[in-house]
Amino acid sequence: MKSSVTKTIGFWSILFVAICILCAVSAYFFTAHQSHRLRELISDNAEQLASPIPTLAGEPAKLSPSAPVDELLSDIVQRYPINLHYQRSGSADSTWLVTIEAEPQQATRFLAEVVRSQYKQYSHFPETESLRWESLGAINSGVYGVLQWQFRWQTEHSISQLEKPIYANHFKPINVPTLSCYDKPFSGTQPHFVVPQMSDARLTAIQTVPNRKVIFKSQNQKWVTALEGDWLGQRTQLDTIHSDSLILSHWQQSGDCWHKHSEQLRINKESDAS
Amino acid sequence: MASLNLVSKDNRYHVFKHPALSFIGVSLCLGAIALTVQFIVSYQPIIDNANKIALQQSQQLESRKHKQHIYEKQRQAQVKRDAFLRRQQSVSDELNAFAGLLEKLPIESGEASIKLSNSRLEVTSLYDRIAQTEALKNWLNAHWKNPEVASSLHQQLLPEKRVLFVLERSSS
Repeated sequence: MKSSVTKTIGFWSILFVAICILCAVSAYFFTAHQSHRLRELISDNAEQLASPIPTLAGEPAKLSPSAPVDELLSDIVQRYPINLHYQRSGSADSTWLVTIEAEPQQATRFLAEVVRSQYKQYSHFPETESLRWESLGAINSGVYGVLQWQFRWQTEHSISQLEKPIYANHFKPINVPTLSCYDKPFSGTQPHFVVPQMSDARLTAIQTVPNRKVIFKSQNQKWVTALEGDWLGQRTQLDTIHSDSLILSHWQQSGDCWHKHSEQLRINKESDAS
Repeated sequence: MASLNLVSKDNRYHVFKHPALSFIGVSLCLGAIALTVQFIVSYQPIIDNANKIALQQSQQLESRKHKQHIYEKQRQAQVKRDAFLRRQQSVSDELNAFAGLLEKLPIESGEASIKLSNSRLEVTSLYDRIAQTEALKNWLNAHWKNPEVASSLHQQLLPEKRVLFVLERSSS
Protein backbone atom coordinates (compact mmCIF):
# COMPACT_ATOMS: atom_id res chain seq x y z
CA MET A 1 0.00 0.00 0.00
CA LYS A 2 2.79 2.36 0.99
CA SER A 3 4.67 1.52 -2.08
CA SER A 4 1.57 2.24 -4.18
CA VAL A 5 1.16 5.72 -2.57
CA THR A 6 4.84 6.50 -3.11
CA LYS A 7 4.58 5.42 -6.70
CA THR A 8 1.47 7.56 -7.24
CA ILE A 9 3.14 10.61 -5.65
CA GLY A 10 6.28 9.89 -7.66
CA PHE A 11 4.28 9.62 -10.87
CA TRP A 12 2.39 12.89 -10.34
CA SER A 13 5.55 14.64 -9.15
CA ILE A 14 7.40 13.65 -12.31
CA LEU A 15 4.44 14.62 -14.47
CA PHE A 16 4.13 17.93 -12.62
CA VAL A 17 7.83 18.68 -13.00
CA ALA A 18 7.66 17.74 -16.67
CA ILE A 19 4.66 19.98 -17.22
CA CYS A 20 6.36 22.77 -15.29
CA ILE A 21 9.45 22.46 -17.52
CA LEU A 22 7.26 22.41 -20.61
CA CYS A 23 5.36 25.45 -19.36
CA ALA A 24 8.60 27.26 -18.52
CA VAL A 25 9.98 26.54 -21.98
CA SER A 26 6.72 27.63 -23.62
CA ALA A 27 6.51 30.73 -21.48
CA TYR A 28 10.10 31.60 -22.36
CA PHE A 29 9.49 30.98 -26.04
CA PHE A 30 6.30 33.03 -26.23
CA THR A 31 7.55 35.91 -24.11
CA ALA A 32 11.26 36.54 -23.62
CA HIS A 33 12.38 34.85 -26.82
CA GLN A 34 9.79 36.60 -28.99
CA SER A 35 10.42 39.87 -27.27
CA HIS A 36 14.16 39.51 -27.78
CA ARG A 37 13.71 38.63 -31.43
CA LEU A 38 11.42 41.61 -31.99
CA ARG A 39 13.77 43.96 -30.14
CA GLU A 40 16.60 42.87 -32.40
CA LEU A 41 14.43 43.29 -35.49
CA ILE A 42 13.32 46.76 -34.37
CA SER A 43 16.88 47.76 -33.60
CA ASP A 44 18.10 46.51 -37.02
CA ASN A 45 15.27 48.29 -38.80
CA ALA A 46 15.90 51.47 -36.86
CA GLU A 47 19.53 51.30 -37.86
CA GLN A 48 18.58 50.95 -41.52
CA LEU A 49 16.05 53.76 -41.28
CA ALA A 50 18.56 56.04 -39.59
CA SER A 51 20.96 56.02 -42.56
CA PRO A 52 19.90 58.81 -44.93
CA ILE A 53 18.84 58.13 -48.53
CA PRO A 54 21.12 60.05 -50.88
CA THR A 55 19.19 62.46 -53.07
CA LEU A 56 19.99 64.11 -56.36
CA ALA A 57 19.35 67.78 -56.81
CA GLY A 58 16.41 68.02 -59.16
CA GLU A 59 15.07 65.54 -61.61
CA PRO A 60 17.60 64.49 -64.21
CA ALA A 61 16.62 66.04 -67.50
CA LYS A 62 15.08 63.82 -70.09
CA LEU A 63 16.49 63.67 -73.60
CA SER A 64 14.87 66.58 -75.40
CA PRO A 65 13.39 66.01 -78.81
CA SER A 66 15.24 67.65 -81.65
CA ALA A 67 14.42 68.75 -85.16
CA PRO A 68 15.12 66.22 -87.91
CA VAL A 69 18.65 66.45 -89.29
CA ASP A 70 17.60 67.73 -92.72
CA GLU A 71 15.46 70.48 -91.18
CA LEU A 72 18.27 71.50 -88.87
CA LEU A 73 20.79 71.72 -91.72
CA SER A 74 18.38 73.51 -94.06
CA ASP A 75 17.49 76.01 -91.39
CA ILE A 76 21.06 76.90 -90.49
CA VAL A 77 22.36 76.96 -94.05
CA GLN A 78 20.08 79.91 -94.85
CA ARG A 79 22.34 82.10 -92.77
CA TYR A 80 25.53 81.16 -94.61
CA PRO A 81 26.80 81.89 -98.11
CA ILE A 82 27.73 78.26 -98.77
CA ASN A 83 26.76 75.50 -101.12
CA LEU A 84 25.46 72.60 -99.13
CA HIS A 85 24.70 69.05 -100.10
CA TYR A 86 23.70 66.38 -97.65
CA GLN A 87 22.59 62.79 -97.77
CA ARG A 88 22.18 59.77 -95.61
CA SER A 89 25.31 57.79 -95.96
CA GLY A 90 25.70 54.05 -96.24
CA SER A 91 23.27 51.55 -94.85
CA ALA A 92 23.02 53.04 -91.38
CA ASP A 93 20.08 55.41 -91.23
CA SER A 94 21.69 57.56 -88.62
CA THR A 95 24.85 58.32 -90.60
CA TRP A 96 24.94 61.45 -92.72
CA LEU A 97 27.39 62.90 -95.17
CA VAL A 98 27.40 66.67 -95.50
CA THR A 99 29.37 68.36 -98.27
CA ILE A 100 29.97 72.08 -98.04
CA GLU A 101 31.57 74.18 -100.75
CA ALA A 102 32.60 77.48 -99.26
CA GLU A 103 35.34 79.57 -97.77
CA PRO A 104 36.98 77.64 -94.94
CA GLN A 105 35.85 80.08 -92.27
CA GLN A 106 32.23 80.01 -93.40
CA ALA A 107 32.29 76.21 -93.66
CA THR A 108 33.64 75.71 -90.14
CA ARG A 109 31.27 78.33 -88.75
CA PHE A 110 28.36 76.50 -90.30
CA LEU A 111 29.54 73.23 -88.77
CA ALA A 112 30.07 74.88 -85.41
CA GLU A 113 26.57 76.29 -85.48
CA VAL A 114 25.08 72.90 -86.31
CA VAL A 115 27.02 71.30 -83.46
CA ARG A 116 26.19 74.10 -81.04
CA SER A 117 22.50 74.06 -81.86
CA GLN A 118 22.36 70.84 -79.87
CA TYR A 119 25.23 71.55 -77.53
CA LYS A 120 24.61 71.17 -73.77
CA GLN A 121 20.93 70.69 -74.42
CA TYR A 122 20.90 66.99 -73.67
CA SER A 123 19.41 66.37 -77.03
CA HIS A 124 20.36 64.29 -80.02
CA PHE A 125 23.55 65.53 -81.60
CA PRO A 126 25.85 64.89 -84.55
CA GLU A 127 28.85 62.81 -83.53
CA THR A 128 31.66 63.27 -86.01
CA GLU A 129 32.99 60.18 -87.73
CA SER A 130 35.25 61.96 -90.19
CA LEU A 131 36.10 65.42 -91.47
CA ARG A 132 37.80 66.17 -94.79
CA TRP A 133 38.90 69.41 -96.36
CA GLU A 134 40.07 69.78 -99.96
CA SER A 135 41.15 73.18 -101.20
CA LEU A 136 39.79 74.21 -104.57
CA GLY A 137 41.97 77.33 -104.80
CA ALA A 138 41.04 80.98 -104.91
CA ILE A 139 37.80 82.08 -106.54
CA ASN A 140 36.84 85.77 -106.65
CA SER A 141 39.71 86.65 -104.30
CA GLY A 142 38.38 84.23 -101.69
CA VAL A 143 39.81 80.80 -100.88
CA TYR A 144 37.35 78.02 -101.59
CA GLY A 145 37.29 74.40 -100.78
CA VAL A 146 35.13 71.40 -100.08
CA LEU A 147 34.49 70.30 -96.53
CA GLN A 148 33.04 66.84 -96.07
CA TRP A 149 31.58 65.98 -92.73
CA GLN A 150 30.39 62.51 -91.94
CA PHE A 151 28.55 62.17 -88.70
CA ARG A 152 26.30 59.81 -86.79
CA TRP A 153 23.13 61.29 -85.41
CA GLN A 154 23.21 60.19 -81.78
CA THR A 155 19.70 59.28 -80.85
CA GLU A 156 20.29 56.82 -78.05
CA HIS A 157 22.08 57.09 -74.78
CA SER A 158 25.69 56.44 -75.41
CA ILE A 159 27.41 55.14 -72.36
CA SER A 160 30.27 53.37 -74.03
CA GLN A 161 33.70 54.52 -72.96
CA LEU A 162 34.82 57.59 -74.84
CA GLU A 163 38.23 57.11 -76.38
CA LYS A 164 40.76 59.80 -75.75
CA PRO A 165 41.08 61.90 -78.91
CA ILE A 166 44.25 62.08 -80.96
CA TYR A 167 44.03 65.87 -80.96
CA ALA A 168 44.97 68.10 -78.06
CA ASN A 169 42.07 69.88 -76.46
CA HIS A 170 43.31 73.43 -76.19
CA PHE A 171 42.14 75.01 -79.40
CA LYS A 172 40.13 78.15 -79.17
CA PRO A 173 36.45 77.72 -79.98
CA ILE A 174 35.27 78.65 -83.45
CA ASN A 175 33.93 82.16 -83.36
CA VAL A 176 30.39 82.13 -84.68
CA PRO A 177 29.27 85.76 -84.70
CA THR A 178 25.75 86.18 -83.47
CA LEU A 179 23.54 87.19 -86.29
CA SER A 180 22.12 90.67 -86.22
CA CYS A 181 18.40 90.56 -86.18
CA TYR A 182 16.88 93.22 -88.39
CA ASP A 183 13.30 94.32 -88.74
CA LYS A 184 11.51 93.19 -91.83
CA PRO A 185 13.32 95.12 -94.59
CA PHE A 186 10.06 96.45 -95.98
CA SER A 187 6.52 96.23 -94.80
CA GLY A 188 3.22 97.30 -96.23
CA THR A 189 3.61 98.46 -99.79
CA GLN A 190 6.26 96.58 -101.64
CA PRO A 191 9.14 98.61 -103.02
CA HIS A 192 9.69 98.91 -106.71
CA PHE A 193 11.67 95.92 -107.87
CA VAL A 194 14.13 97.10 -110.43
CA VAL A 195 14.35 93.59 -111.78
CA PRO A 196 12.01 90.75 -110.78
CA GLN A 197 14.90 88.38 -109.98
CA MET A 198 18.58 88.98 -109.52
CA SER A 199 19.42 85.96 -111.66
CA ASP A 200 17.73 87.70 -114.59
CA ALA A 201 20.15 90.65 -114.55
CA ARG A 202 23.79 90.96 -115.49
CA LEU A 203 25.91 93.78 -114.14
CA THR A 204 27.14 95.79 -117.06
CA ALA A 205 28.35 99.20 -115.89
CA ILE A 206 28.97 101.26 -112.77
CA GLN A 207 28.80 105.01 -112.55
CA THR A 208 30.09 106.87 -109.50
CA VAL A 209 30.11 110.50 -110.70
CA PRO A 210 28.01 112.65 -110.56
CA ASN A 211 25.82 110.12 -108.76
CA ARG A 212 26.25 106.46 -107.98
CA LYS A 213 24.27 104.04 -110.07
CA VAL A 214 24.68 100.71 -111.76
CA ILE A 215 23.36 99.45 -115.03
CA PHE A 216 22.16 95.90 -115.49
CA LYS A 217 21.13 94.17 -118.63
CA SER A 218 18.09 91.99 -118.20
CA GLN A 219 17.41 88.75 -120.02
CA ASN A 220 15.13 90.44 -122.50
CA GLN A 221 18.06 92.73 -123.44
CA LYS A 222 16.64 95.75 -121.62
CA TRP A 223 18.88 98.22 -119.80
CA VAL A 224 17.98 98.68 -116.15
CA THR A 225 19.39 101.35 -113.85
CA ALA A 226 19.57 100.84 -110.10
CA LEU A 227 20.56 103.11 -107.21
CA GLU A 228 21.83 102.26 -103.71
CA GLY A 229 18.92 100.87 -101.68
CA ASP A 230 17.03 99.57 -104.71
CA TRP A 231 15.65 96.06 -104.69
CA LEU A 232 16.76 93.51 -107.23
CA GLY A 233 14.14 90.87 -106.65
CA GLN A 234 12.26 89.97 -103.50
CA ARG A 235 15.28 89.22 -101.32
CA THR A 236 18.22 91.12 -102.79
CA GLN A 237 19.00 94.76 -102.14
CA LEU A 238 21.72 96.90 -103.72
CA ASP A 239 23.66 98.00 -100.65
CA THR A 240 26.75 99.96 -101.69
CA ILE A 241 28.25 100.96 -105.02
CA HIS A 242 32.05 101.08 -105.34
CA SER A 243 34.04 102.10 -108.39
CA ASP A 244 34.58 98.56 -109.71
CA SER A 245 32.18 96.49 -107.65
CA LEU A 246 28.97 96.61 -105.71
CA ILE A 247 27.77 95.02 -102.50
CA LEU A 248 24.49 93.17 -102.52
CA SER A 249 22.59 92.21 -99.38
CA HIS A 250 20.71 88.94 -99.53
CA TRP A 251 17.93 88.92 -96.97
CA GLN A 252 16.84 85.74 -95.22
CA GLN A 253 14.07 85.19 -92.76
CA SER A 254 14.44 82.87 -89.80
CA GLY A 255 11.36 82.93 -87.59
CA ASP A 256 10.65 86.58 -86.72
CA CYS A 257 14.25 87.50 -87.37
CA TRP A 258 15.53 88.91 -90.63
CA HIS A 259 19.21 88.78 -91.39
CA LYS A 260 21.39 89.46 -94.37
CA HIS A 261 24.64 88.31 -95.82
CA SER A 262 26.61 90.35 -98.23
CA GLU A 263 27.92 89.49 -101.65
CA GLN A 264 30.40 91.45 -103.63
CA LEU A 265 29.68 91.63 -107.33
CA ARG A 266 32.55 92.70 -109.55
CA ILE A 267 32.02 94.10 -112.96
CA ASN A 268 32.66 91.56 -115.70
CA LYS A 269 34.92 93.31 -118.20
CA GLU A 270 34.10 90.85 -120.94
CA SER A 271 30.42 91.46 -120.61
CA ASP A 272 30.90 95.21 -120.98
CA ALA A 273 31.31 94.87 -124.66
CA SER A 274 28.01 93.11 -125.14
CA MET B 1 -14.23 -14.92 -15.91
CA ALA B 2 -13.66 -14.33 -12.20
CA SER B 3 -9.99 -15.13 -12.64
CA LEU B 4 -9.77 -12.64 -15.52
CA ASN B 5 -11.26 -9.84 -13.38
CA LEU B 6 -8.78 -10.59 -10.66
CA VAL B 7 -5.89 -10.36 -13.10
CA SER B 8 -7.01 -7.02 -14.56
CA LYS B 9 -7.76 -5.55 -11.14
CA ASP B 10 -4.30 -6.57 -9.90
CA ASN B 11 -2.63 -5.11 -12.97
CA ARG B 12 -4.66 -1.82 -12.95
CA TYR B 13 -2.27 1.10 -12.93
CA HIS B 14 -1.53 2.10 -9.39
CA VAL B 15 -2.16 5.84 -10.16
CA PHE B 16 -5.83 5.31 -10.28
CA LYS B 17 -5.81 3.49 -7.05
CA HIS B 18 -5.62 6.84 -5.21
CA PRO B 19 -8.18 9.24 -6.64
CA ALA B 20 -7.36 11.91 -4.06
CA LEU B 21 -3.71 11.96 -5.04
CA SER B 22 -4.68 11.88 -8.69
CA PHE B 23 -6.96 14.85 -8.14
CA ILE B 24 -4.18 16.81 -6.47
CA GLY B 25 -1.74 15.81 -9.24
CA VAL B 26 -4.11 16.78 -12.05
CA SER B 27 -4.97 20.05 -10.26
CA LEU B 28 -1.32 20.96 -9.83
CA CYS B 29 -0.60 20.20 -13.50
CA LEU B 30 -3.60 22.19 -14.70
CA GLY B 31 -2.68 24.99 -12.32
CA ALA B 32 0.80 25.13 -13.74
CA ILE B 33 -0.56 25.21 -17.27
CA ALA B 34 -3.10 27.87 -16.34
CA LEU B 35 -0.45 30.04 -14.69
CA THR B 36 1.75 29.70 -17.76
CA VAL B 37 -1.08 30.62 -20.10
CA GLN B 38 -1.96 33.57 -17.95
CA PHE B 39 1.64 34.71 -17.90
CA ILE B 40 1.91 34.41 -21.68
CA VAL B 41 -1.38 36.25 -22.15
CA SER B 42 -0.35 39.02 -19.77
CA TYR B 43 2.88 39.42 -21.75
CA GLN B 44 1.07 39.61 -25.08
CA PRO B 45 0.51 43.41 -25.14
CA ILE B 46 4.27 43.90 -25.01
CA ILE B 47 4.74 41.50 -27.94
CA ASP B 48 1.84 43.12 -29.81
CA ASN B 49 3.33 46.54 -29.29
CA ALA B 50 6.71 45.38 -30.55
CA ASN B 51 5.03 43.72 -33.53
CA LYS B 52 3.22 46.95 -34.31
CA ILE B 53 6.47 48.90 -34.21
CA ALA B 54 8.15 46.29 -36.41
CA LEU B 55 5.26 46.45 -38.87
CA GLN B 56 5.47 50.24 -39.06
CA GLN B 57 9.18 49.96 -39.60
CA SER B 58 8.76 47.40 -42.34
CA GLN B 59 6.33 49.77 -44.09
CA GLN B 60 8.85 52.58 -43.77
CA LEU B 61 11.55 50.28 -45.09
CA GLU B 62 9.37 49.36 -48.04
CA SER B 63 8.85 53.03 -48.90
CA ARG B 64 12.55 53.62 -48.37
CA LYS B 65 13.38 50.77 -50.71
CA HIS B 66 11.14 52.37 -53.31
CA LYS B 67 12.90 55.73 -52.85
CA GLN B 68 16.26 53.99 -53.06
CA HIS B 69 15.19 52.37 -56.30
CA ILE B 70 14.15 55.75 -57.72
CA TYR B 71 17.46 57.23 -56.61
CA GLU B 72 19.38 54.42 -58.33
CA LYS B 73 17.45 55.01 -61.55
CA GLN B 74 18.08 58.75 -61.30
CA ARG B 75 21.75 58.17 -60.70
CA GLN B 76 22.03 55.90 -63.72
CA ALA B 77 20.20 58.49 -65.83
CA GLN B 78 22.63 61.12 -64.56
CA VAL B 79 25.62 58.95 -65.50
CA LYS B 80 24.19 58.45 -68.98
CA ARG B 81 23.46 62.15 -69.33
CA ASP B 82 27.01 63.07 -68.30
CA ALA B 83 28.41 60.58 -70.82
CA PHE B 84 26.14 62.03 -73.49
CA LEU B 85 27.25 65.59 -72.75
CA ARG B 86 30.92 64.55 -72.66
CA ARG B 87 30.53 63.16 -76.18
CA GLN B 88 28.91 66.41 -77.29
CA GLN B 89 31.84 68.31 -75.81
CA SER B 90 34.33 66.05 -77.60
CA VAL B 91 32.61 66.74 -80.96
CA SER B 92 32.90 70.48 -80.34
CA ASP B 93 36.56 70.15 -79.30
CA GLU B 94 37.36 68.10 -82.39
CA LEU B 95 35.79 70.70 -84.64
CA ASN B 96 37.75 73.48 -82.91
CA ALA B 97 40.96 71.51 -83.45
CA PHE B 98 40.08 70.98 -87.12
CA ALA B 99 39.35 74.69 -87.62
CA GLY B 100 42.61 75.56 -85.85
CA LEU B 101 44.53 73.34 -88.27
CA LEU B 102 42.68 74.78 -91.26
CA GLU B 103 43.67 78.28 -90.16
CA LYS B 104 47.28 77.20 -89.82
CA LEU B 105 47.62 75.61 -93.27
CA PRO B 106 48.72 77.88 -96.13
CA ILE B 107 45.59 77.08 -98.14
CA GLU B 108 45.75 80.35 -100.10
CA SER B 109 48.55 78.93 -102.19
CA GLY B 110 46.35 76.17 -103.55
CA GLU B 111 46.43 72.50 -102.87
CA ALA B 112 45.84 71.46 -99.29
CA SER B 113 43.83 68.68 -97.77
CA ILE B 114 42.99 67.45 -94.31
CA LYS B 115 41.47 64.08 -93.48
CA LEU B 116 40.51 63.50 -89.89
CA SER B 117 38.96 60.40 -88.40
CA ASN B 118 38.83 59.11 -84.87
CA SER B 119 42.23 57.48 -85.10
CA ARG B 120 44.07 59.24 -87.90
CA LEU B 121 44.89 62.69 -89.21
CA GLU B 122 46.32 63.17 -92.71
CA VAL B 123 47.47 66.58 -93.86
CA THR B 124 48.77 67.40 -97.32
CA SER B 125 50.11 70.85 -98.02
CA LEU B 126 52.29 72.74 -100.44
CA TYR B 127 55.57 74.27 -99.35
CA ASP B 128 58.18 76.61 -100.78
CA ARG B 129 61.05 75.84 -98.48
CA ILE B 130 61.82 72.79 -96.32
CA ALA B 131 61.87 75.05 -93.27
CA GLN B 132 58.12 75.51 -93.71
CA THR B 133 57.54 71.77 -93.38
CA GLU B 134 59.62 71.72 -90.21
CA ALA B 135 57.60 74.57 -88.78
CA LEU B 136 54.35 72.77 -89.57
CA LYS B 137 55.67 69.54 -88.09
CA ASN B 138 56.68 71.31 -84.89
CA TRP B 139 53.30 72.98 -84.73
CA LEU B 140 51.51 69.65 -85.17
CA ASN B 141 53.69 68.09 -82.49
CA ALA B 142 53.05 70.93 -80.09
CA HIS B 143 49.37 71.58 -80.70
CA TRP B 144 47.85 68.48 -82.21
CA LYS B 145 49.62 65.48 -80.79
CA ASN B 146 47.78 64.52 -77.65
CA PRO B 147 50.35 63.49 -75.02
CA GLU B 148 47.75 61.28 -73.30
CA VAL B 149 47.41 59.08 -76.39
CA ALA B 150 50.21 56.95 -77.73
CA SER B 151 50.36 58.41 -81.20
CA SER B 152 52.98 58.86 -83.87
CA LEU B 153 53.55 61.67 -86.36
CA HIS B 154 55.18 60.85 -89.71
CA GLN B 155 56.26 63.26 -92.37
CA GLN B 156 56.77 62.44 -96.03
CA LEU B 157 57.90 64.75 -98.80
CA LEU B 158 55.92 64.25 -102.02
CA PRO B 159 56.65 65.34 -105.57
CA GLU B 160 55.69 68.87 -106.70
CA LYS B 161 56.69 70.43 -103.42
CA ARG B 162 54.02 68.77 -101.39
CA VAL B 163 54.36 67.39 -97.90
CA LEU B 164 52.26 64.77 -96.17
CA PHE B 165 51.87 64.45 -92.41
CA VAL B 166 50.21 61.47 -90.79
CA LEU B 167 49.28 61.47 -87.13
CA GLU B 168 47.76 58.25 -85.91
CA ARG B 169 47.16 56.20 -82.83
CA SER B 170 49.87 53.67 -82.20
CA SER B 171 48.66 50.14 -82.61
CA SER B 172 50.19 49.04 -79.27
